[in-house]
Amino acid sequence: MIDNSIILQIKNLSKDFEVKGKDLRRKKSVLHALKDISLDIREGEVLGIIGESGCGKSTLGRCIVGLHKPTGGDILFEGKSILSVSSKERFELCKNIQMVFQDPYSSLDPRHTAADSVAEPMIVHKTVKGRQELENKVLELFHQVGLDIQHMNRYPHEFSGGQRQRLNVARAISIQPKVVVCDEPVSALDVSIQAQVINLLKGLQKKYHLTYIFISHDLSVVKYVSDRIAIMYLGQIVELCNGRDIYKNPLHPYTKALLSAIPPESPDENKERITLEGEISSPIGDREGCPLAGRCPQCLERCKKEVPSLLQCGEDGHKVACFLYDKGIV
Amino acid sequence: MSEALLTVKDLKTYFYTSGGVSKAVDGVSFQINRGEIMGIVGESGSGKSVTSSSIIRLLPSGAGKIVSGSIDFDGTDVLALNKKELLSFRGKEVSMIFQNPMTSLSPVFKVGHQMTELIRTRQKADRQTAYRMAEEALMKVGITDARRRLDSYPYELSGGMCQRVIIAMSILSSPKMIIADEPTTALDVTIQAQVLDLLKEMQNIYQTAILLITHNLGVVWKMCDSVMVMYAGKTVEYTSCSNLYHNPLHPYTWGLLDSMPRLGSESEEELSTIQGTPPDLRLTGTCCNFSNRCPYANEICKSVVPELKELEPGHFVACHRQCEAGGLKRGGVDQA
Repeated sequence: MIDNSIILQIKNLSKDFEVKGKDLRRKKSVLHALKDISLDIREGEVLGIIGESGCGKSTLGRCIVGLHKPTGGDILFEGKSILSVSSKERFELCKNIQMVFQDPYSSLDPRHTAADSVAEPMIVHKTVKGRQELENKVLELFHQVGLDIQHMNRYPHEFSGGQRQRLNVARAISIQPKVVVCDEPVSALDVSIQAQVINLLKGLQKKYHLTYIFISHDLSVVKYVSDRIAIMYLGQIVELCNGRDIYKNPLHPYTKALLSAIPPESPDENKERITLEGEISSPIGDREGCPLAGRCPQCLERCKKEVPSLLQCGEDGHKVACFLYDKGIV
Repeated sequence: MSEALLTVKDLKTYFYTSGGVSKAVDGVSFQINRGEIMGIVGESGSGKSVTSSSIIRLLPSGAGKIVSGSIDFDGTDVLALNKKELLSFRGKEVSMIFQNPMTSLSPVFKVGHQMTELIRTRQKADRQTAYRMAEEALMKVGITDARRRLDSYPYELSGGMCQRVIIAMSILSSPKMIIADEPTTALDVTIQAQVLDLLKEMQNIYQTAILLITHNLGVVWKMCDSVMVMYAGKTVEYTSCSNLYHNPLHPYTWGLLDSMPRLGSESEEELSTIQGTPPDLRLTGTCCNFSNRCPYANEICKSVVPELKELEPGHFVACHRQCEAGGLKRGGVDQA
């Protein structure tokens, strides 16, 4: 079902932030949010990105839509770089890549009615002609995301969280983008509402053949929606695999630990816990070796000195960045 | 072992707002035994946090009021305590762990200061003894360089570390019960697992009862002995943990269980959802609160408030349809 043509290509992307020293005299230090990330996203697929807070998953999403300017590397959309284009071309590209944010409360303008918010992208990008067409289009979008058209003239504060997230989705798909970056779209919602929004997103994806980049920290949600999953740790992708394989055949020690830390699905389930000692190390400053080296239960001497790269391991494009699997490839 | 520690009977906590009376908790009864872990699950606004703050009388003064009911903790009537008695009740008998670890510590004092202050208000100890006690407490919760941590400010610690400090503080005076209000919601999965393991370990060592409030059913499966499901201020189901998983009876519980995506499942089917949204708490109390979202609802559900009935030994359910002859079967009606 998946079309194999690559729609978005991320090449050696890195993003550094400057952080101030603890007191005024101290030098500024560098926070490496993303380190040398390469990723191909195929047309019509859902790529899930998962990781703990601070691992750079949101930064990656924001780089793709152009909210952050990467420090190195390149992002190609349909073969064209989106970083080194004129502002006019950049504007055209925006039409194809849209974003749904995490917090449904702060991502809508409180002074715009629901209909205004949904109509705005279409006005900005001039995709509709005339008032009548715009109104019809807004009506259609409301219908598609399952909102009552009687609520069109309400303001954001009059909606519940789930309804507001539906509005955000309507706004993102209003100009028929090809890629939608969903940054934790359901994390702020209750379980029963979460399922409604997930179903909506999945339905729209099938209908319009959209490509999603689905960022979340909830593994079961990501697994449910995604065709492929990338697991991130400290600014690097440590494993990339098919949605099914992550549960059946996790390879990287971090992925295994992450899976074992998830609360059980029934009271009888007795999970074998793989504990990672300590806390996530700081992304500030330069680091030697594998990002997980300090916490990994299977750490080798080599891990402390060299950074493993993301290499093919097994079938179906299962890739892992870990020296434990290096022998298999050589 | 099965001696009751906390008995809550028909607790009603209402909030008086300009828009009307909001029935946040509307007749909740339960019992926690010594050394037991009980969970309360529900969506936001279902009254689970208000229930817990009612138990230690931490409601915002003015707006919230306990209208009726009784709370009995180990022989003391909590609702009859005066201000001074309350101070020693909180912390000594029951301590509380809040959702956000970063805001439950004061940002302007060092961890050591905050911990020794707590020790010295509770018992006679000079500064150095108190400091040593604090250090020991931190070591018990698995903080390695305790001495250095005592000398840091809360902002210098990570979320998981802060929550450990708070757990250390809550067990300082060896309380009989800990109320943990969404203790891991603000934390990452791996840190969440660490904190939950720690809580369970503390419960094992000190035989403390824990009232765990969460919206994550996975956390309940991992931790709890018994569990209460709340919806719109009312208990809808109350039973043992494994019973709730294997034999849930209330339609809301079914909806909740079915709407969670499962990690191990292979199915590509749509997630089943509960249609609609929870009711306005100012307008509840005339019918079954779930009737507007329930696929099984009929006339009686829309006109009479269901009572919590013991359908099987130790299994309480508030549902009209389930009490009928034959009862309901899970998945009997397609949710259209």
